[in-house]
Amino acid sequence: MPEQVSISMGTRRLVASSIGFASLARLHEKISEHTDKDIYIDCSDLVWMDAHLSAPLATIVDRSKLLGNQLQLTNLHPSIRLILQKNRLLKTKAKDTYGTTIQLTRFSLEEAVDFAHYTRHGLLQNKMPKMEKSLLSKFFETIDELFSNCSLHSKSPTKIIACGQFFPQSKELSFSISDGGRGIDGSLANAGITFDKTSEAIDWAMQSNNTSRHGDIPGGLGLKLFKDFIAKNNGSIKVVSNDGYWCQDGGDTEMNDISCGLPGTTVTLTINTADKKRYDMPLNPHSVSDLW
Amino acid sequence: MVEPMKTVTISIVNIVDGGVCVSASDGQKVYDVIRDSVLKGERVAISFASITRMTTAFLNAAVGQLYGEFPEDVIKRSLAPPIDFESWHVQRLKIVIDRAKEYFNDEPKISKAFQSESELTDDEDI
Repeated sequence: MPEQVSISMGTRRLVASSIGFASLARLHEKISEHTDKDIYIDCSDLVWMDAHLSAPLATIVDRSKLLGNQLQLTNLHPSIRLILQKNRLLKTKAKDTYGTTIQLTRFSLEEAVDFAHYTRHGLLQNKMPKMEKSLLSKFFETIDELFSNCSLHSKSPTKIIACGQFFPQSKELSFSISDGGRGIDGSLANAGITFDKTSEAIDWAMQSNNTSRHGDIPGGLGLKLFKDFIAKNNGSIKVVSNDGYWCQDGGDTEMNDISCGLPGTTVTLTINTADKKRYDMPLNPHSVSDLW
Repeated sequence: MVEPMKTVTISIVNIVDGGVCVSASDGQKVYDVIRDSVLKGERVAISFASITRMTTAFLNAAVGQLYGEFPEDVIKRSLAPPIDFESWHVQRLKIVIDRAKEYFNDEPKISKAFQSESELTDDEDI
């Protein structure tokens, strides 16, 4: 019989903020000390959890499983248990009667096309918001670019995990993508680009045309494309990579390092689905004839 | 008298089934077809019909790397304006092209493809 270990979730409210991600990082640090054990994550103090944070939590679990551990969430509050059954973090399933959950799904690094289909089907559910076509297109563009970045740079030994939640009252859609890879700073360090702080590495990666790629295929477009979109939509994007935290909320940016590190990179995108602004600008005919 | 270039249409949806153009590996498939046509001296019109999703990773592989292999004047001569597009296709394409020109700006302006073709011919001559 493997040895049994109980580890506290360590927080009452698990929300997508620097404090919430720091809680997950501490949990990861405690779990990482163990190999070949049955680990019970005690959630008795937990009274709220942002459902889309199931993605980074599942990455922590998957990384720990690589060390031979088996993990269980215990003492879950019934309402949290239900939402985690609806979004399929938990093996026991519950019907998503409100149709507001984009179920937690794992993808290999090569499954970009499957990811695209998954997100389209996830947003076709009847209780999902009917977004303007140009907003929907921008949302898909953003999450496709996020997935692409995981594929190209993370070298994750665990699968990419995605999960989303629509909040009808605030009309916000939140979506998280998590990988268990080397992190943005690790990817940049591999290319010989180093920083004093991890959050500075994330900030560098979020700037126009910056990339760790070398060789025949150019890079450096993925992350910067959606900064303007987030500002215009008054949404937010939060990037946690190892111990670095970077957030753009509307047009404001915040960055700092957290006390310990999450595995890999988690990006959480929240958009205002009631936004009626146009994102597909009309084309200048000259830009087509003189494109090349 | 110079013969006019034969124009061929390369429809992405015929290469990437379903029109979901999100992976660099699918972009590489499109690139291989475009590259063949350029090497044959054809003028290529890329059709974006039925493309519903498209990432910069796909476009970097499909067209961005052309600028690392061919001089810009060859690309301008060999690629016709795209067809069957929506505005977002062209906007994203323009961002990728501008970035590729900048990325390969310091590269020597000799076509790697043409250079390697001629090296093969030299070897055969010997």
